[in-house]
Formats: sequence, C-alpha cells, structure tokens
Amino acid sequence: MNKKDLKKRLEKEIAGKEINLPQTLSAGNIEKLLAEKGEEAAELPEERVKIRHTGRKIMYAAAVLILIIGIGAAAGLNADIEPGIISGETQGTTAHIHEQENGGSNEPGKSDETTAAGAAGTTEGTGGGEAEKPQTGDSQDEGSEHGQSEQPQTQKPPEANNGNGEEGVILNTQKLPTQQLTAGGGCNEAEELILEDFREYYDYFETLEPGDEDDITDGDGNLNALAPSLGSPQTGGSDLYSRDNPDYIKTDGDYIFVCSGGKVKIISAKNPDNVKVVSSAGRELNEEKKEKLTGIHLHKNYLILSYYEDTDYGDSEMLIYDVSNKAAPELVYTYRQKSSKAVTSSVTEGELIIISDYRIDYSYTKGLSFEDACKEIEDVLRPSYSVNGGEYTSVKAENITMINKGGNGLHYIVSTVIDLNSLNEEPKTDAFLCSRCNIAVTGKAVYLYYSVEYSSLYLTGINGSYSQGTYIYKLDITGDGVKFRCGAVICGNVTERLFFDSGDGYLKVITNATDGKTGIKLSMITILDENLNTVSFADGILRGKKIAETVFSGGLFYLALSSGEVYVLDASDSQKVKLKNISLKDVFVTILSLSEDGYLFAADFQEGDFAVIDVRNPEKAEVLGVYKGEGGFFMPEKYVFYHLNDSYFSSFTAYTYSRSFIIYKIENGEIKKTAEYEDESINYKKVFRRCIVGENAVYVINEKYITVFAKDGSAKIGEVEF
Amino acid sequence: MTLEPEELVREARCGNGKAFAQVYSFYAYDLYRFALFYTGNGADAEDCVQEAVLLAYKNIAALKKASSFKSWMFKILSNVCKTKLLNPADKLESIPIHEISDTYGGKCQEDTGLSPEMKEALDSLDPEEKQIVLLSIIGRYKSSEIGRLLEMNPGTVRSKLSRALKKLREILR
Repeated sequence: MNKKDLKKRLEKEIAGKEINLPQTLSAGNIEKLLAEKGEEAAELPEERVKIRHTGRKIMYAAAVLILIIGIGAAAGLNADIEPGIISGETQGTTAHIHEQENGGSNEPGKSDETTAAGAAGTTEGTGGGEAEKPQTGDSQDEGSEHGQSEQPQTQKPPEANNGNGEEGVILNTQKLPTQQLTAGGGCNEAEELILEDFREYYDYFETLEPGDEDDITDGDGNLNALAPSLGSPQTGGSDLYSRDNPDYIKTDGDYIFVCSGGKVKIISAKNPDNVKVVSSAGRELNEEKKEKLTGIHLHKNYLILSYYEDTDYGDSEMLIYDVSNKAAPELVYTYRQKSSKAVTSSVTEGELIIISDYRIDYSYTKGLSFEDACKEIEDVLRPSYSVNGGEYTSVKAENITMINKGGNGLHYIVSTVIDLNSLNEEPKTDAFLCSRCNIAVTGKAVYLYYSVEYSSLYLTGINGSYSQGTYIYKLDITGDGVKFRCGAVICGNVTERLFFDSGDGYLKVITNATDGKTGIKLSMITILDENLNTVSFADGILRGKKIAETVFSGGLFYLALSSGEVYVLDASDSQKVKLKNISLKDVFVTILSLSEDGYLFAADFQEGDFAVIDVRNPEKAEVLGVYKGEGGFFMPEKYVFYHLNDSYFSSFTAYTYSRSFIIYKIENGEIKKTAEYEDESINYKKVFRRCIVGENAVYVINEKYITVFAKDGSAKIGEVEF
Repeated sequence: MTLEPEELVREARCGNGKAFAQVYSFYAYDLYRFALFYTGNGADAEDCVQEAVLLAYKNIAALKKASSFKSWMFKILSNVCKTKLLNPADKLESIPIHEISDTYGGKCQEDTGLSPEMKEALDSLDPEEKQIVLLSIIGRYKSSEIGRLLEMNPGTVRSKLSRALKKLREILR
C-alpha cells in the first residue's frame, strides 16, 4: 500500500468514521459534571482575584505608607525609605501572581499551553493534580492557588539556614543496583544500521507527494535535504576541572585576545595608557555557509580558534596559531572535519580534545537511483577529517564503537585528541554511534548522557517509581584516544548537567522525575563511582518542586527551584546527604553562579533582581546584598550583573534613560562599590561583553571597543577599536 | 447571543462552567474519537475525556491564549489517555532498575468498530506512535504542532510518524 492509499484509508476508517458521542459526554452532561465535580476547580478564578487584591493591598499599603511618611517628612522621602524594601514586597507579590498565571512554571520559553497542559499530564508539568504547595516561604496565597494537595508529606521540610548553623534534613540514602550498559557493537554493526536507516528514509521520501509537509524533494522526487530525524547534541556545560574551556575573550595578563567576526584581535594591555591592537589571527568567515568562530583557547604559545558552519551538514575547523610573537601570529596547524559540528573543545594537560557531532549526509545521494544512492552513501558512512589541508581520512574501523542504536536519529559523536606538544603526530580520532545526547568533558573522561521517558516502565527508587530515566556513557581519555568504558541508567531526568567531584572522584547527578504512583514531582541525587556503579542514591528531595538550576562545589550543590527558593544539598558524605534552605525572601532565584572564592550569585531571570550570598562557610550562608532590577529580562541589553575575577562583580544598566556601569568588590564579607561609570564613559552602541579588572585599570569590552578606565573610576584612560 | 469560542474560553476562565461546556462541545467529537482509537474501547475513552475535561477546567486559569484551547485540550487528553493506557486499572508496574526492558506495552479492549485489520495495524504501534498518528489524522496537526503538544523535536515527530506509517502500510497491504 502506498502512502496515498494509506492516507485515504485512515481518513475513512478513523477520521471520517461516524461515531456516536456518548450521552455522558454531551455538552449538557459535561456542564453538570463540572457543577458536581468541578466545584473545587470553580473556586480557582476567585482565588486569582483574591491574590490580585492582596497584591494591590500591599501596593496600596506601600503607597499609603509613603504618603504618611511623605506628609511627615515632606522632603527627602526617597532618602528616608529604603527603596529595596518597598520594591521587595511589591515585587515579591508580583512574582507570585506571575507564577500562578503561568501555572507555576518559570522556565523561559515554555508556552502557556505547555505549562497548562502539563498540569494534567504525565510530563514534567505540574503533574496530574499534584500540588505545588510551597514547603517554605511566606506565601499562603500560593498554596491556596494550587490547593489540591494530595501529596503525602513524608519528608520534613528543611529548616531555614539563617546563620544559626542548623543541620537541615538528612536524606535517606540507599545503594541501588545500577543497570550497567555495554556498547552495542563496532564498525560493521554501525554501518549496517546506517544503511538500513538510509533505505527506510529513501523509501519514505519516495512516497511523498509534492506539497506534503515533509516533502523535501526538488519536485522530481530527488532528495534535496536530509532525513528529518537527525538532532544535534547540546553542550552540557559541566562542572569541569583541570581543563580550559573555550571562550570569546582570553587574557594572559599582558595581552587580551578578543574574537571579532572570524578573527581574533590581539591587544596589548600591558600599559593602560597605550592599549592597542598589535595583530590578528584567523580568517574571514564564509557567510554563505553561516560560518562562526565559536571560541578560542590559549595554551602556552598557542592560540586555538574553533569554527563551524552553522548549516545542516556544515564542517568544523580548528586553527592553531603560534603567538610567541604577538605582532606576527603564525598558523601552524589546521584540523577540519566534514559534516560535523564541533560541540565542545578543551585543553587538558597539553592535549586539545575536540568533541563533535557527525551527521550522516543523506543528501549526498541527491538525484540518484536507489541502488546508486546506496553505493554512494557508503562514502559517508564514517566521519572523516583532514589535517593541514591534506586529503580526508576516514576514522579507522577499529576506532568506531556503536554504543546504541540512536533512538533519535543516527549520528556519531566524534572525539579528536591533538597533542599540542607534538603537532606532527596524527590526531587520535574515535567515533561513537549514539543517540542524541548531552556531552560533558572532564580532564579524564567524556560523558555522553540523555534522558528518556519510558512508555511503559517505571524504575524503582526509594520513595517513588519513575518512568523517567537517564542513560550515561563514560568514555575514557587515554593515551590512545578516547575509548568506551561503561554505561549505566539511573532514575530521573538530568536537571541540567552532570557534576564531578574532584574531591572524592565520584560523579554526582541531580535528576528530576515524577512519581508514577502519586504524580508528585521529586528530585533525586545519584552518586556513581568511576565504573558508574551507584554508591548512593536518595530521592524524595523537595517533593512537589522542580529544580531549575544547580551549581556545585566542594561536595555541595546549590539548587535554585522553579518556585524561586534556594537550597543547599550537602553531598560531601555520600552516605549522609543533607538538605538545607537558604533564606532568601527578596529574590526569586532562577539563575545561580558560584565564584571560586566562595560567593554565590543568585539572580532572577524575570525581574533582573540579584543577590550575593557568602557561602565561604556553607553552614552559615549569609546574604551580603540584594540588588533590585528595574524589570525586564535578565539579558545584556537591559540589566545584568557579571561576576568578575577576584571577588569583583559588576552591574551594567543599558536602558535608554539610565546607563551606568558599576564595579563592586567583596572584601571580608562586605560589598563595596569601587567605581561607577556613567553615560558618556562607555560606548553603548555595541553589546557589552566583559569587564576585566586589571592591576592598574579596568577594561570594559564590548563587541567593537575596549575602553580603559582608572581602577577607581576617576577617569577614562583610553579606548581602542578592534 | 452566541459567543465565539475564544470569548467562551475567557468566560470559562472566570469560572463559568456553562461556557466551558459550550466551548468543549465544539471539539467533543474529535476529542472522543481520539480517546476511542487511542484507548481502544468506549468506556476508557469516556473516562479519559471526562478526566481531561475536569483537569482542563481546573487549570484553565493557566491557559493564556484562548485560541489555543483546542490544542491544549488535545494535549491534556493525550496525556490522560497515555497514562490510562500505560497504567490500566491504576496498577503501577514498578520494577527494579537493573531489570529494565523496553518491551512493555498497553493492551486495548475491542469496541471501536474498526475493521480487524485496521485494529491490528493500530495495535502494532507503540503508545507514542499511536498518539502521533491520531493527532495527525484526527487533530489534523502538523508535525511542528504535534512537537509542541508532546514536547518533542518536530524532526523526531516526523521520524516517528514515518516509522508508524510504515508499520501501518506493512499491515494494511
């Protein structure tokens, strides 16, 4: 049966089939049903109104207060009232209303429909009737808004850690047996699978008619685009140790290296009075192929530039320059990989490690008969690369591992290790056929991971059973390239990234899942050893809540919840995991950043609010300062805080009528404003990128200029265009 | 006075059950049809639609765009049906993590009025494939819209749809 006939038959037998709507489902009976069983639900809109009134009352109260004080004090009103306090209350209330209107989700990009429907479903929404009742915090309104609490409170809510050194809740941990996963095969199996997949797609596209939604032929039935199922891995930013991450800006102390278009400008910053561009490295971008310079590394005298073409089957390229002589950088090495997107790269112990996603280009066979297409496709069955502009070499068969059958389309994760101490050596390239996955790289291993939802399976935890699971595969970085070591499946969906504890060497993973029995959201931690055996597991963390962001340091996780609270999960002792709340009432935190010197920067994505928390002694976490944003999203063009080096952080406001740049320094647990720069001091026409606090000056970098200021903010020293 | 669906949704958001029932009635047949062919029997389909309606009414405050009511209802219903299919009689099958397998599947009873061949073909699909096929045929959603409903990459939807259609073609020769 061809596709057209199938379509007709489905139309006739399913879509067009006459059915009788049961009487129970008639509009009249549904109205009755809502009247009988929907009483609880019917109260909901009233609650919303009530909450709005509450919000207004607070605002009215604040206004009345201002008026009274204003009458009493006449002048100096603003000076007498701390703006933060008033704005804190009103904004806090606004945040709650906002949350309710969005069905409890604060995730950017989530549609209203998604959030709302999630409330009824099995996905990661608010679950089938589950409550979002807060465990802590001061909002009664929020609880009543979601007021269908059916959840068993088996876990004591964590006590607020307000500096009294309270212990928090010790979680029940167990050592669950881990499902160990092995690689599925080698090169032959992988290639057979790809060919089979290709035949299936060829067959599918052949049956499409011009104008069909999926029709990707050129009208004559020839393929002109490729299999629609291929996805690309996402970089799973991870807590990485002993590696250098790519960036747009690097500095060695004397020079600043800044990406600009396809080139890197090398700028001498030794003397603040004479900041100047001395040379550049790199090349022009290929606009047609949407080429991008995605980041640079600086390793000894080498400057490494990473490019990729942002098209379906674009190539990736790494250029290595010797910058011993800053005035005349010399290109010493190129590495190009076909049809691959460089996902991440790092420099570790003198080795450049590139991880890329090789997409099998079926469009290569455009216009060919099926038989010819099958022959041609064999040329692209394996990833290939070229060194220093030479011939392309395919990855050797013995270096190909089929990890699994690629549930979301077939593609390879390709690893390349280049020895920076011996550029004459061949790169060590390996390829792994795997599902679409996130990638994390440490100094010693590459982890591929992806979360799944089983259609008919629940994994047993301690406090629940979960249909969400995460597959993790570990690849060792060896002297002979990157090699498959082991794999495992654990409960829950990874919240964001994997975390590696350099202290005890364990892999620590925070996941979210919905308990299949109660429909309640739970978070859990799984601690795995070097062979991905479970050392410890605890679930039931923060029942009914969803973790939005996590940062990790020294065995401690800092968790920002979708509900705006911040918690500390102490996993330094894998057998005694503890959970504590950081009392932070004025900021609805959705973004976290942890500085190396022990300060937690907690920001509100929606409102632009910002808090600095001293967590040098996590037992006595202390909020050092709260800065209220001026509304809008947390993005560079509006209102943003950046954490800088050595306890410095900065705020940058770029509204039309209010533009300033302020640098703060944290000293002995106190925040001090070190300098403030106003309007004309900075070129605002270009997007602000970074600020470097140097020994004698402050360098403000946007996409086109570096502006140099005296460290105390007293004067603008100079500006250089690059 | 007859109100437009979007106005009815706005009324429903203010707690008006009658308005909700009215706007529901525009899509009642398609919703029931979806549930009927998804679960495979009328009783379960009725339960699913009723449950979806109650859940939707409960959460309608979260629906900001009145024009999205239909797709929102379909999403709720498809989630309810999926749960029902995977979890018949509310019995949860839970197994230790080291014994996982991907061979689990739901079973349907027979009172859909489908031809045995079509029934066999639909039963050959896994719940997710069936969801996608039915949303495509009954809801007439494009893969990008199904992707949004099921929180899937549209490419993945197309891929699953093509595999599902291939399965159907093989059985309905």
